[in-house]
Amino acid sequence: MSTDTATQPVGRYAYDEVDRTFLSQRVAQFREQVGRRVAGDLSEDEFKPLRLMNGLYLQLHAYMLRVAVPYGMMGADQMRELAHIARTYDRDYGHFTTRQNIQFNWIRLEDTPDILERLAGVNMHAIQTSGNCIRNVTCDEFAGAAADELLDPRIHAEILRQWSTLHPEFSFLPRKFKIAISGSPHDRVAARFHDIGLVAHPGPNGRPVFDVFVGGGLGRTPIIGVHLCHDLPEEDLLAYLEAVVRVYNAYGRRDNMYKARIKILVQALGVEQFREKVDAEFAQMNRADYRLEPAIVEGIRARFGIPDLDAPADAAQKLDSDRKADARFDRWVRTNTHAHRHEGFISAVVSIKPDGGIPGDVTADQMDLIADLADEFSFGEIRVTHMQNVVLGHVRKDRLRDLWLRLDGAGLGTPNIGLVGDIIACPGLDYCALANARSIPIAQKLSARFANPELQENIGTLRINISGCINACGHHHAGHIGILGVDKRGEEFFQLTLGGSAENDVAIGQIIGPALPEDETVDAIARLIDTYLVLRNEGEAFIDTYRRLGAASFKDAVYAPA
Amino acid sequence: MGARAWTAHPFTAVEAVTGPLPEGISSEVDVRNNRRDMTGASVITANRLLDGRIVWLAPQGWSEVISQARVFDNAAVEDAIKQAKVAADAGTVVGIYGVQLDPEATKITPLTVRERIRAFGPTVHPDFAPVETPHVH
Repeated sequence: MSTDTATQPVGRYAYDEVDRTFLSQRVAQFREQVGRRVAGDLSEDEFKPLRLMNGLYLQLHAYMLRVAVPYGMMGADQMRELAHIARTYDRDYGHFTTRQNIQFNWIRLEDTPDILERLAGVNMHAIQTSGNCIRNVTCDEFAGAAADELLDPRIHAEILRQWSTLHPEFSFLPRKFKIAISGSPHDRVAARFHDIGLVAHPGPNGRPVFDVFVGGGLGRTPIIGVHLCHDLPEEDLLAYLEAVVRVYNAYGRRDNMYKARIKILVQALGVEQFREKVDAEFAQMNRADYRLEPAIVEGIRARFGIPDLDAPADAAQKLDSDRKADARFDRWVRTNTHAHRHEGFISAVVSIKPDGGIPGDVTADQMDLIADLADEFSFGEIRVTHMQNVVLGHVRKDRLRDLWLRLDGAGLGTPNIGLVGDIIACPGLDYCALANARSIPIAQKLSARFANPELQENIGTLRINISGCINACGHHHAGHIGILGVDKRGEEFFQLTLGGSAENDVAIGQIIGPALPEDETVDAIARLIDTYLVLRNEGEAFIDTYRRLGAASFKDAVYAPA
Repeated sequence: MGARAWTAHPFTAVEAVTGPLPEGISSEVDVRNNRRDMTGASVITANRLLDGRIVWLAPQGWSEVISQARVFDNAAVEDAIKQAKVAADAGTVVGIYGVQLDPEATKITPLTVRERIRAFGPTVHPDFAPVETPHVH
């Protein structure tokens, strides 16, 4: 196993021959399965689970291929390959998802083996992006860069990826299973809205320990995860998680898909009984088989490239002077950057939410540009966020304005991160076979209406999340303002929830009243925001005003006669 | 929905009572997509196996544009769907079901928003709308 971190890809795990051989064999297997389906040797019922295991869904207009971006990390070379796929096999677009993946909406079944072969050529695949298995593990978009981080969660995210990929016990769970991991005390991964949420911090012996949350989730039954284990030692991470998933696999309901997620089991048993079952399973396991020795962890760590964080001594001063000289740049720095652990560096968030645009959609040309900028400014490393944006994690402060100028020139410099325009939206009824209503047009109208950057900054932090159905891919329950599309006799209506949060102040948004017709929804939200601006105390964010005053103060505004 | 002034229409016979079913759970067509009145007219739709594109049952095969679809009385559409499913055993299309039409529309137009989007393309990308061609598969 190589330990030359200087030559490994920065921020992600370097595949070895075993990984590459596995992917190659997997592509050959799927090519053969597609051939059998096209020849009529496999029925659709037989073929469907096989294609889903390779990330291929049949959506509203065509097949959709969801490509895994493990813990949101990819390299410039991989992004260029995605651009090629968008250009060659799709309609020039890709769409970043709320699980840090990317999906293509216009894929042909007959092209899919070739696409997977091209992906394998850059160490990518579509495994664990569908089906009732442990899905792509998600992670903090500022991992390994954030000033507030206690330890880099990507090493353990990769360990969990390797543990969970094609895990023979966990390929047919009662339902899908989602894990998120953070190494920061500030929750940027929605840890308590996951089947398992892990928050890592250094333990007394210098090795990581983990707070384990279980049974959280959104969807039809939103539940905040419960704290299951405090300071789980690193060496027991895999054994303990295996015990949790075994208990779920054994006791989780398979008779009713709406009650099949682990959150329902945890609620049904109660956290104490659930913990007892996990502890009993954990106690009878041969822990030596699962022990995560420091040497194993360090072996994985050694396959991650480390950025050479060397910046001029006056890098921060240069950034300060650049900000003073250019008000537009200064605004973008305020909204779209995050403090880096190295004083000469900063993390830049590339908004994939242009005013009036489609959240998360990137063109092939934009993907190529992001790849070029990653090479030029951030060690070839790219991060996809669960907010459907992109992060360049390690940008020298003295070069930040050059980066911004390039982004701005390509329509990727929108200064709206964390503001009204930074809307999470699922593909909705425009693309998704499950959706009841369209999410994207509501997002577009809202972001166009609040496009003025001064207005957005004045309104301040406001998370608007939109889902086109109760499956909640747009995380509406976790939005300060949540919007849920519902179907009423074939027509679209939108239900508003207020007060949700996926961060440290985690909360489930509460329904404010009856669903609104599509053409009244944006006006109602505008009145809601106007009401907040009137009622807020100085410096108070929307969520805080809502919590101080409650829903009643906003309800009249939402349902005011047109 | 832009310039399309479609109106809501109450279903009188079959009401959808479930939410959407994630793929992989059931191979049956989501009941929401196969509901219709006792009276009225419907067309039959599916996705093409090889490329997943939406197709509509036309007098001589499957068409990519709804304007070429064969219109059935709702009283006859169930039998037509059964026949189409038998014919599709060759594996040309998947997910066959019927789509209720808007009785007030002047051209062949599905009643529900969902099926209008399937018929006329994503509303957020008019450039991706199906192109009217005389080609029938």
